[in-house]
Amino acid sequence: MKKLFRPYLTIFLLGALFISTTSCSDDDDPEPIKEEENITSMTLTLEPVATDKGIQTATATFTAGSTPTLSLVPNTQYTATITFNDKIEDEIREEAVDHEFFFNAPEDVLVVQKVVPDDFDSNGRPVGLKTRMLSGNAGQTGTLKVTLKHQPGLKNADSDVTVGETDIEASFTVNIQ
Amino acid sequence: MLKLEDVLKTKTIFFALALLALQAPVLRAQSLPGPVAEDAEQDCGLTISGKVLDHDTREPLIGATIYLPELDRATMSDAYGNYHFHQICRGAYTLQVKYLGYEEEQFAVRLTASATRDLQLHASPRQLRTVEVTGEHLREQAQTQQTISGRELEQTRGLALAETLKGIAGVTTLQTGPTISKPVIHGLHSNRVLLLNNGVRQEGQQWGAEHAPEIDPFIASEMKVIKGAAGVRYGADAIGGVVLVEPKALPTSPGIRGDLYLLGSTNNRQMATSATVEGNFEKLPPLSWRLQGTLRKAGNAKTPDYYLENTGMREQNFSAALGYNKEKYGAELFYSRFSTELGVLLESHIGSVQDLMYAIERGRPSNADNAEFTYDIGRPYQDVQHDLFKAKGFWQLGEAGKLEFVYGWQRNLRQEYDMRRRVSQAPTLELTLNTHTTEATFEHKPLGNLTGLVGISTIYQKNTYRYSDFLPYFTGTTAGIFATETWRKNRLQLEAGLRYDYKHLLVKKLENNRELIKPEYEFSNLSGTLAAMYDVGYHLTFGLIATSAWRAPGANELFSEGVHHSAAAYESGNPNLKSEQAYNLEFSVDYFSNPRLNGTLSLYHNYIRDYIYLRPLPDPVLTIRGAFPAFEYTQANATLSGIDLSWDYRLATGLLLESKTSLLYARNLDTDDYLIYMPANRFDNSLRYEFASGNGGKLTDAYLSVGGVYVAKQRRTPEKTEQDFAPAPDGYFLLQAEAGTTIHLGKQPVEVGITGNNLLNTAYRDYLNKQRYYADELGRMLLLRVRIPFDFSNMKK
Repeated sequence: MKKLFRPYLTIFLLGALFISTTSCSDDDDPEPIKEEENITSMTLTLEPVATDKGIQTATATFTAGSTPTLSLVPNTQYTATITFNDKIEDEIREEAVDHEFFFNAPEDVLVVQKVVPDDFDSNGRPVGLKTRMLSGNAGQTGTLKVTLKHQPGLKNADSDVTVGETDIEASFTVNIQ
Repeated sequence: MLKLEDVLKTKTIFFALALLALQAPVLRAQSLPGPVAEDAEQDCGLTISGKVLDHDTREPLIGATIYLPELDRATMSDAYGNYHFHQICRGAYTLQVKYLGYEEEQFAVRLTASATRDLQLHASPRQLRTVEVTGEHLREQAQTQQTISGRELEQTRGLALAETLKGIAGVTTLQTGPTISKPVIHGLHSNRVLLLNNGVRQEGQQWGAEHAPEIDPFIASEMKVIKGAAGVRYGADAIGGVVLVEPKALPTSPGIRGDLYLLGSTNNRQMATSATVEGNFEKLPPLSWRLQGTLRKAGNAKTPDYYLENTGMREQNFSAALGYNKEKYGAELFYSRFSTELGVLLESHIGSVQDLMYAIERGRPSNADNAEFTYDIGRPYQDVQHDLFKAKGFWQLGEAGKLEFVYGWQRNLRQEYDMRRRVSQAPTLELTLNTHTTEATFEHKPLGNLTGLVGISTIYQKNTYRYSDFLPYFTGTTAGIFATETWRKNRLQLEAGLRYDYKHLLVKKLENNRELIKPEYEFSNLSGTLAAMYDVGYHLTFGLIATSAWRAPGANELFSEGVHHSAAAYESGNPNLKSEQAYNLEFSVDYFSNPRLNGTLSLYHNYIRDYIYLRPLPDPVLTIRGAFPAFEYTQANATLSGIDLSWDYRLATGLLLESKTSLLYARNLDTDDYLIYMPANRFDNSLRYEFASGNGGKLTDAYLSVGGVYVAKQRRTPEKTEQDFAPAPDGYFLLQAEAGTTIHLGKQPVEVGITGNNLLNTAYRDYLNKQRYYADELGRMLLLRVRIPFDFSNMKK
């Protein structure tokens, strides 16, 4: 019987168990992740089209969970521009054929027109970084929802807000005073 | 005081007795036949019986000669292929089986109780293979196991691993579109189902519902599913069950032979080929080798109405094995690489819950009308590589038993590529998991009625990431020790097993991407089994088994944090989780090797204490993309009970009705509600006709099968909390058909087969497909299969 339990065999088995459980050193720590893209806020700037009436430019910045307020003058045309904390707007311009902003607000509060010069992609579709907005009557209040959709290969005349991947969904309270 | 002489004397007597005991079967045999009533201890009233079958077709072989050289007795299989030997004593025997047109084969049988052995013979053209005693009906354990091998397995060639196993009652799949599927056993999956790839515990990122097992099904010559907790033998985690993917044993006779598979399908236009070449050296018989490789490619899959964009896949696998096997000792080296690229349905890449709601409302992908067929895979996709190296050695320790040692190294590299604005080559997520496993087992020689196995095992694994910290760095060390013993006497078999495991987990996580924390965890627990199996005779066996198994929480459950995009949910880990503990009770009846009716019924009840699941939180998490429902890993007691029934009935010669039913009822006891994402009731029925093969004809083993699977609507979904975005889809019925034959081109057999799935082109969705929110399942698909076995050793002759 003794012959059968050869010592080298036992040593081999125990050795292999030992090596395989201890051979790996454990001294490396994770490095911080470099975020490729980190959108944290979106700013909506409304400049009055008529500059001679002394109307103030309205600005509001949206961050996750907030609903900032835009105070507008009644029945006024504004040029709205969207900017980001991370200069994403340049990339959106570059990939304009795959991106589009969608706006949703009660019509008596705010009417948003997307067809504005300098705001078309190479296929002639609007992008929405720049829009024309018309404020309603005094005393109206409502919520403006701005959604940026990434529509890779999907952007066409039929692609609405339901198509593609949402990159940003921002809400603003619009007060007409 | 004893004198030395006395000691020696006692020893000699002992030795003589031992010798006598060994001789007993032979001695008894000579005094047979005739019942030996007064000498019950010698157990000479045993019966060995079973069926003689064709290994591939499972046709019974009538009139085969079975010879027991130890007793010099012989019998012939009857009209149903059955054979019997009665009044046999305990001991080791050989069954020599002869049948015209088949290889003569020998089966070793160690008889400690009446036993059933199905003897499978190989047709002569493909001779000279070692034979293992396998068979669906051969029950060695009380726990329900089911095996897919031989022709049954051939019919599933070309399918992903999990799809292959769907033919077993109680086994379903959890899918993410057409390319990603993983096995679900009795409602449990992922971390709770263990996969053993060629004897090594598969360690990938199996926690993920959309992470398919990294195993090439073409490696397997047999797939076995153990349903229910099996923690004692296979280690902690096996709460739901175990899937064993077993390759064929390496060849032992000289010559070179192999197999070539060619597959093609409609729908996703899959093309696949797999080849195996194996050999053995005439000049060095213990040395044998095998090389195997598989290429698989598929394009966009199609539902009845539209193509699913970006659902192609590519797979390249190879493996090599080298073995040196002697009677007393042997060693084997095995290396395999599995690499795949899996496209993920474009539509399913969403940015917010609102997008998901839009998709559900739309009912079909937004680009469905313009989607076209292509083999190209774009973002989002997964790129996964899995390497396995295995070294195995065994040593037959004379009369003491058999010692076996298995070492395995695995590296799993998972890269996930999501949609990106900035086109960069880098993946969005990269996980690297290195695992070393060892296992040493000692199978002792029977001690009286007792046979058994003791063993130790270790796992060391280390996970790192790049590009995303959804899952932290971690290092896990596990050690276990176990013993299982089986006691057989007459018709009764009792099994007991005990295991102790210890797990150490070190997590390294950067909190808020800045502050390094290094929490450490220790888990340890016992697993146990108690089982009884009673052989009533007349091919009827009852089994009763109680098992317990446990699972330590995974690093993902403890520490994952972030938006899980495909699930449109914000998931947070819970660092305070405890281990979950399962208690599994199963009762089963096996009625087997009968001429007409055969079947297995299994009733199970699985109670899981501290079952880990995602609980919805009342407040959503607000992000720049909108509000996401929040989920947190939490624990509750749960029960999963169900019934698996599979039976077949021979209506007439060659005509067989096969039926499988799986029912499951799963509750969360703490919230008194149903568990989410549990498989619906499933019924699978088919009618198979096997044509009588004329000897020497050009076509043999022809068969035709028509059947259907009906999956009921899952009505047992959580009622008290809103956990799902859409109700469970309706039930569905799929018509399937299959045909196949072996064509003999001269001496060269060629097996061909065609399988048709969803023949009625039914549009349906499955509750357990993560992409059911976005699109329908696959439409009609025909799969054509050709297998060419070749044997160069024959050609020389």
